[in-house]
Amino acid sequence: MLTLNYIVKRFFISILLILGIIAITFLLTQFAPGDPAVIWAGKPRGPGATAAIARAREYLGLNLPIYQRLVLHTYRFFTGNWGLSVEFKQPVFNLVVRNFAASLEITVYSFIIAIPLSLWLGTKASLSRGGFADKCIYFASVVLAGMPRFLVAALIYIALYIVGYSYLGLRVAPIYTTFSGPTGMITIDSLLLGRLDIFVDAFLRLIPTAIALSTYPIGVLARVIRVSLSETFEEEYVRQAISLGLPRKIVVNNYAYPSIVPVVAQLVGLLFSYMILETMVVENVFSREGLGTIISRAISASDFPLVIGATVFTAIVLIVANTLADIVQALTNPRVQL
Amino acid sequence: MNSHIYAVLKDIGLMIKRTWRKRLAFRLACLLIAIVVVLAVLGPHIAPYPRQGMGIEIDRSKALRPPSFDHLLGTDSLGRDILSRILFALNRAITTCVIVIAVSLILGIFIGSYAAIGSRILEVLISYLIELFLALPSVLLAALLSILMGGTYESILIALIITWFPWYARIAYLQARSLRELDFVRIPMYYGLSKWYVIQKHIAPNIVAPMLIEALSDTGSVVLEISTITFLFGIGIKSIEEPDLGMMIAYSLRDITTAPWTFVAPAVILALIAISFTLFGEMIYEEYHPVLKKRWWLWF
Repeated sequence: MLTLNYIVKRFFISILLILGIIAITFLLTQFAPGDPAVIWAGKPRGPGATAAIARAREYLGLNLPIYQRLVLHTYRFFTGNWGLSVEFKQPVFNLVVRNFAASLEITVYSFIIAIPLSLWLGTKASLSRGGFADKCIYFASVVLAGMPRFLVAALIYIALYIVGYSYLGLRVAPIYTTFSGPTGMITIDSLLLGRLDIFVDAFLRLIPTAIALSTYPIGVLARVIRVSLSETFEEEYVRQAISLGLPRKIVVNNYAYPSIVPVVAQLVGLLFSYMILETMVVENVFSREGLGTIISRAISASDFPLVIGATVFTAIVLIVANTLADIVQALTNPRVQL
Repeated sequence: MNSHIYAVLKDIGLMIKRTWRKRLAFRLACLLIAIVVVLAVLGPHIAPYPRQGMGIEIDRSKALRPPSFDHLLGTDSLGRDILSRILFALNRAITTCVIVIAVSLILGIFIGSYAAIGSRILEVLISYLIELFLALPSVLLAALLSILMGGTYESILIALIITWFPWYARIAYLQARSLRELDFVRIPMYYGLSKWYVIQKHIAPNIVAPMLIEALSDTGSVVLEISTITFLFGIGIKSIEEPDLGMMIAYSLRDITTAPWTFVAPAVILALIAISFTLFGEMIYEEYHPVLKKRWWLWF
């Protein structure tokens, strides 16, 4: 049963988890092996190295007592002052938020594709359990989830190459290169600002990427929906509805679906953490800008502040997503009690 | 301890045997796993061009040849035999994923069951830490550690262990919590035996069999995750000569439209490994699931 008590409790747990993430980054930045200041400054070499290391030492406050450093670190975290990226010479917070939004856009679109499709496939499979359709859907979903995402993305890429997707303008540079909006997600920004041409262009470029990415959630979700729907069909209340002679559509929609919503919500929350890796792969193959590009540049330049910022931001997004999933679960499942 | 190991192995053997008898896909998956493991162990010895496989020798005159009898899977952009490269890379991939799975399984079982029978404060603290580690994304953690540790391959291993063991710890915690009120756990505790002894002797043998199956079916995802990280960032790869599945795929992406076999061969091997391990776990799960086991036609 969803109560205010439960929401408040979940909220405090997520705050605690975010504080824990801050503590981990504090430990990593302040007690890095070797000299923390050298690592924070990006292991500099050359004439400006000593000055850069001195600046990093100043910034980290390595001569202050430890509790002051902790307070400083937490204060900076909440005011969005996450340091300056070594590689890009820009504030880390802006960089991470902008690139994360670009990656999140693909992830959200792929979930928009995946959830209805896997719901349909899972229902189809569980309604003919043990039959031919069930086996086909089952093995297809295992193959889809098990294929490496670069294989799927490259296959789609080759297919587009052969078919000549260029008619839709893909071989030409995108028209949104100089376009920027309030959220960083181009398809949403262009709609907000009323630029339909940019929306169509961005959307057409995004669709193959989102399809390539959506194969993973389709594979996982379809299998889980199949299992939990099969379990639901064995429950007493569904059997009673069946024996009352209700049509199949009503039994499935009104009796079986409500009990799998919590499972799906929970799984979507958990999938987010693996989807970040997959999003980076798909971005790499289709050479889009996003979190993957800045991280790979950051690694080659040993840009420590940027990677720390990206890790913290991603972890916080995952925590928020899982909290939302838990609240959805509590909303729909009266048995959840904490 | 010996008898416990024997009992656990017998449990797993029974599960595998029963599923083996009933499911064709399970037999196929087992066969594939066996082939992959044998190839990974024997790989460096049976590779047709071991010097090219290790990356010591390159032959630019034979670059990007399609598959033929000399080179069963073709050659890459530096003229190296792809089959030999894959055999050398498989060895490394399987070794690392076995290390990751084994370490995180053992850590998970002990931490999870210690949380279940430890004091109340410890229980809350460990559950909190498990939640915290679950929120860390493995790629970014690997990136962080590679900067801290100077880009060694161990940074991927540590990052993966940190992100995988909380899953096993959570499962072990939930299972051990259901055992802790039972007599065979409580009575030794009243005797004053140490908690580690109780975990080893009474809790671990009872929860390890299903978790081992779970871990085996996760092995495929771990192989995929490791090669995806090396594909993206090349963490832990000193030079392009080193054989690694992820790295081979990353370099073959440039030639994908002119020489697709350089890309397809390692990617398909990875897909086969992942799919066969997933099927292995899934089939056992299906066989032992009370609802999924039976074939059932809906009558409405």
